[in-house]
Amino acid sequence: MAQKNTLAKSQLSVVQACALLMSTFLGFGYIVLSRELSDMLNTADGWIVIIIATLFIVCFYLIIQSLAAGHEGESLYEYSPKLIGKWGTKLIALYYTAYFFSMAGLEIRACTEMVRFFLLEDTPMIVIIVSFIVLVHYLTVSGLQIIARVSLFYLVPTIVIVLILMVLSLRIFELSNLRPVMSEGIMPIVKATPKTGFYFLGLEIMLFISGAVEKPKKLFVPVMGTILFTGLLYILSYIVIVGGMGVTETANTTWPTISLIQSFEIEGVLFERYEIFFLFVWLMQFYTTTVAFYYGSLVSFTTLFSTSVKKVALFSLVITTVIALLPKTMDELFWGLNILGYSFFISVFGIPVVLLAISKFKKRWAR
Amino acid sequence: MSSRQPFHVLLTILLLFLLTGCWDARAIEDVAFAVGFGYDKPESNDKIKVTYQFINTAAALEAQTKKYINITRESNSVHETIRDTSLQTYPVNSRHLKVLVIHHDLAEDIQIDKLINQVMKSNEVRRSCYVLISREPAQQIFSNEIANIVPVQQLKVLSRTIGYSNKKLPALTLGKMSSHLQEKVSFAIPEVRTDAGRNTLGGAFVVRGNLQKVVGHLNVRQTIGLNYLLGYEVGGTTTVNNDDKLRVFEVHDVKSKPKLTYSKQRGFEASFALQLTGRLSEDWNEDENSFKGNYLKLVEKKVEEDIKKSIEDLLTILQSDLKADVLKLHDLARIHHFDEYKNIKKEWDESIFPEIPIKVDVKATITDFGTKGATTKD
Repeated sequence: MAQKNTLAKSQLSVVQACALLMSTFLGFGYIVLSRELSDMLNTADGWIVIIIATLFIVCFYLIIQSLAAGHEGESLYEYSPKLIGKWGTKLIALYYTAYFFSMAGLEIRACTEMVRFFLLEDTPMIVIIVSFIVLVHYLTVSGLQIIARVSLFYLVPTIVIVLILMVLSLRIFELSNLRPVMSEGIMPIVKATPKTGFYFLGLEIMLFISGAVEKPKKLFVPVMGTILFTGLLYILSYIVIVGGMGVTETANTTWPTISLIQSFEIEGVLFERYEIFFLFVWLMQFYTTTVAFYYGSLVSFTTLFSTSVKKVALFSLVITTVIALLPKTMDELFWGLNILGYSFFISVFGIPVVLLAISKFKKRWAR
Repeated sequence: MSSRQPFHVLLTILLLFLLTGCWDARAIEDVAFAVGFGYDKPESNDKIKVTYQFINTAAALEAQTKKYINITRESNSVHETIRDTSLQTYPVNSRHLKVLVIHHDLAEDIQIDKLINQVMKSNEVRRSCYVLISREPAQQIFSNEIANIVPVQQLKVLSRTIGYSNKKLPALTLGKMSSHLQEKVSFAIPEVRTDAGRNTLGGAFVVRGNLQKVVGHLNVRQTIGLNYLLGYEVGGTTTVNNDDKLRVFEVHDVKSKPKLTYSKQRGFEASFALQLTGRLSEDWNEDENSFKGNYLKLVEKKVEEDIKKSIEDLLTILQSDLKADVLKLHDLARIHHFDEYKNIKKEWDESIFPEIPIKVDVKATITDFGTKGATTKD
């Protein structure tokens, strides 16, 4: 396991790492966030749930951070052999391979569903999926630094456009839709919180890129900021969507964000309809999210078989395509993503916490 | 690297084809752009009759031909009628649907939620499309053509115009209507009718929340009251008659403060504090003198009385006939008295709302009187 992974060689600046992380956060979760929260709660308290979930995610990051702090300049697969041995590492790699391939595949599928519904109705699904995966592969094998640069390049317009769209949507905003606060008490909020981790899918990518960051000590505060900023963006979107459409309507809408933007036309400006801008930036976010997951799967896969990316390239492309084609209906897709939403806790909390405990024990024994 | 160059070029060209989305290319002259859907009650046994208004793309260059084509189909579902139109014209594209007109006869029979289900599910129809309820069949509304303007286009412009008349409600979009229907609350939909061959807006139809059907009609006067109670900035005028001398008050600013209180003994009680400010824009009095302080006070009082009357008229019909809370008191109940409201939500319109005593306090202020303030009598 001593060989360094070719994928992880490049050095990242702190900003690039944060951009990569946030690009991974913003994906399918953002699109369905307000619907799922409205559906689970039946009240307009989703923003409280997001606040709590953000705090949980911050705690998860603390664990990942303290794990990485003990192994500066190394990523998960470089320090895990020292902690749990070669076969233990392979076991983790097996888990992450399955996890990330499924994530990448289903993320592509979700994106394809959106494209098929709103943009390319008659194009066969497999054509969209394959061209998407080829592009994902192309960027991923270019290395971590290129991925991060592309992420940053896409992230800035995404945030700007989403914020503009949210401001424009204020014209149909009604505060009464968000009131009363906590009408059903605290219980629904507590019940809904565990599922909300799903919207921060992608935090586990920090395990794999922390070793490639130039100044790991300076990473902590910016990453915290990234998590909080993402949470803030979620809260803002939730408030604007539920304020514009009401809880029940939001809960019954398949693509609430797009429905919200389709609810108004603006006359007298260059454009009347704005959903195309959202679709456009969110395609980019789907892309960068998928690239990050695909990166995770390639790193895990090559570690699992101690081989190079070139040798597994074709197999990875095929397996991702197959996973993307696996769900037959929208419901099956949502079901699959839900399952992954739960296994997210293993990826981001379970495994890191075990590793952290072992590394602490080892240090104590060494003394 | 040079040996791989041909491969890269090939890949680029291939991706170019795949990424531009040529698969979905469709010649624009082979698409029927539907701008209006009109739902009517059919004569036959079918469930629904739909009239589609298409833009006549072939006529765009010729001044004399009709600019639109109407196609009417009857069937058991909305979507089937859309598909049936492909038997007579090009495939329908409803991305530019502007107005949905439902005949009140149909909306009294079938739940509106069901009627609009197809357009809400559609990936082409936007939620910003306007909704109108028609007094005459929608088929007729779609044929009332003035000066070669596409009727639906005219309806869209009329709906959007705001600030000139208080006799029509602000435009209602499909999205807002769907929200109301999902929350199962009552609301009012703007009305369109035929007046001397022209499509005319004004008045409203009322939908009761739990029924989701049209239960009645508000005339123009009641609509004025509704507009003001809901605080819509619709503008418009109020003409009062004082000793056979007409005075016109043009409304510039409306502020409506609703309040709902609850007590165990007396139940719900509501009040509206309405503040109107505007201009004395027409005065038939031979010795007007608006420069003098007391003159305007008298007009203000008359205006207040007049508007209060139309509001009381509205409240009577809403509470005793229609039993539909379109005043959004349910919103206040939900926000401020959630625990009580939760249990009575279902019977709110029919048994709670009609019993609520509603106090209305109207305050009119004339801030100016235009460029002419007095008339001198010989």
